[in-house]
Amino acid sequence: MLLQQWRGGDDGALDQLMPLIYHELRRLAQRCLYSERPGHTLRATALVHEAYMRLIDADVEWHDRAHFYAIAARAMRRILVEYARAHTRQKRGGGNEQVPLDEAVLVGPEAAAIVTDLDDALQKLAAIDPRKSDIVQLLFFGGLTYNETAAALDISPATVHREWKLAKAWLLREMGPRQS
Amino acid sequence: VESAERWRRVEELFYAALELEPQAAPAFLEQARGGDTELLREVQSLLNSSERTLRFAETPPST
Repeated sequence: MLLQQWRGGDDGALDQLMPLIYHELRRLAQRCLYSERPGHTLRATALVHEAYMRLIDADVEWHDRAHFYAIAARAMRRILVEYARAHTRQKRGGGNEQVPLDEAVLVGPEAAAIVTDLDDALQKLAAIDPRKSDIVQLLFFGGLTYNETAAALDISPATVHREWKLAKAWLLREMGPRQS
Repeated sequence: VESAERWRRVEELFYAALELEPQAAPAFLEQARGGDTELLREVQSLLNSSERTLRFAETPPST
């Protein structure tokens, strides 16, 4: 069993879990995204934690937990971008709202546009500075705390904090003012 | 496209300027840029963008 191998210290086993984690998150996300209630919000943080509880549900080393969240953050980003791409085609623009980038992604036409813009900008940032792009992915899409992000990337929380500020400024500039 | 070295310089100045009082930042950057106007502009625009972030982060969600 992959989960047991992973707990036994095999990091490779967790990478093989990616499809499983992706699948579980997707299922949880769909429950929110496609629910009949309009305005229902999806919080990446809550979903990732729920997936963790369902799939792992055990005491694991802190380092391993961080690794799980790193994979989940990647999966979450993919899910949200797929969903957003499917839903932005119909309607774009109209708002001039600035993204705070402090709360995990929400749903709606405006939010969907933000997710795809953010994904594009993040790919550009990754080309310049992959670590900052990882930090954003973990904090924003994975809902990790500064400390968890620091553990996942094996850097200090102070570095995470500092680089997140720069990454955010860079991304907001890259994404530009959202005007109709 | 940023070269790695240049990006490192931008980072340094950005972090250093953030530590300062907002009024002190322009003078610091003016002095630190070493005649490099592009560098100054790059850091300044990131700082502006970062202030914008902060301002918006303090705005309570409208929904």
